[in-house]
This record gives sequence, C-alpha cells and structure tokens, in this order.
Amino acid sequence: MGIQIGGLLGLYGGLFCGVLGWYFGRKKAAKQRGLDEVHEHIWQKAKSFSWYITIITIYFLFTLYVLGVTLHVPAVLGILMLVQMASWGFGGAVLTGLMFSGKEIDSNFIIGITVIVLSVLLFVILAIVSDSWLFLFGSIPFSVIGLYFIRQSKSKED
Amino acid sequence: MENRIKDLRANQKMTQEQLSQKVGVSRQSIVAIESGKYNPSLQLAYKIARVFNYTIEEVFLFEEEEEKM
Repeated sequence: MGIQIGGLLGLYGGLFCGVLGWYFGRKKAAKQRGLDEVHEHIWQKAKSFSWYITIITIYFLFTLYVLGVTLHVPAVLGILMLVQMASWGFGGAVLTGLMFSGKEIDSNFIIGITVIVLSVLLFVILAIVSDSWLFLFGSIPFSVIGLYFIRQSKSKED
Repeated sequence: MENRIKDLRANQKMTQEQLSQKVGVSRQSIVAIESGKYNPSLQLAYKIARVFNYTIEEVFLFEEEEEKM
C-alpha cells in the first residue's frame, strides 16, 4: 500500500484544526476567568471517564475479533480515536452542564446517560465493522430506555 | 459540603459576579460552590472566607459523610 496523501492531510489537518480551536477556546475562557479549578476538575473527570469508555470499546472490539469478525486496522484505530475524543468532549460537556445548572444529579440521570452512550457506541461500532448502517437502528430501543430514566430524573425535580 | 456563601453575599449586597472577581474564578464556579455541587480547594475556600472576613469553618459547614464503597 502506498502513501495516502489524503489520509495524511486528514489526520494532521484535523489535528492542527483541533489544536487551533482548543488554543483559541482557552484564550477566550481565560478572559472570563474560566480556566479555574472547577474547570480543571471537570475536564480531569471527563478525561478519566473517556478512558472507561475506551476500555469498554477495546473489550468490545476484542470480542468481535474473537467471534470471527474481520477487523481492519484503520477502522479500529479510527474507532478508538473517535471514541476517546468524543467521550472526552461529551463527558466534559455533560459535567459542565450539570455542574453549573443548579439542578441535582441523581442516579436515574446517570443511568440514562450511560445506557444511551453505551448503546450508541456499541451499535455504531457494529455498523462500522460490518459495513451495515442497519445496525444503527439497534441502538434506538436502548436509547428510549435511557431517555426514560432521564425523564424519571427530571420528574423528581418537578 | 454546605456553606453560607449565599447568605453572606446577601448581607454584603454582593453579586456572584463580584465575588467571582474577588477570588479569581468564574461566576459559574461560584454557582457550583454555592449549590454544593463542588467543594473548593483549601486555597479557594480560604480566599472566599477572607472576602467576608470570616474563618473557613464559619463559611463552610463540614459534616461527616458516610464512607463510600
């Protein structure tokens, strides 16, 4: 296989754009005293959360391999990278919203979010490795269950 | 951990934004601390207490928690 210029451009172009966005975001936040200890706490929690999601993903991919599913290196690496970064960002966004919303975080909310995230994650992976987008529909019933738990959480506040 | 920050602010007619400027954090961080969602570090707790001229123990009310598994 020869050098894939498009792949290199995407890989490092994306990295460059991401770092640039991160840098200017931090610069803007610093002007409003946003880079304080609460910010550090949230993003450290989000980073550790993303590693839990990544290890679940690794186990799931290993399980698929052991069951005889053919896995390609670029797909696996891309999935792991996407899962790590997406769960980091998603975790940070959810924690930020919960921390600053003034609302209580209860177990129903956590269960609901976990069910939705894990079901979407696992079925997206299945869709990618099997090359069949129909697997995406599999996450719908689980997401409905997750939404039910989140709704139960909001009902308690009312 | 519960605290008396909201009451102390009201007594001194201080907004969350003003308090956040004095201690060097964002206004949202003050919201999180007041609501008990976040326990500040010792340094930040000391800064907050100093703004109101109280000791840390007079601002933050420590209660024994059940041990987590």
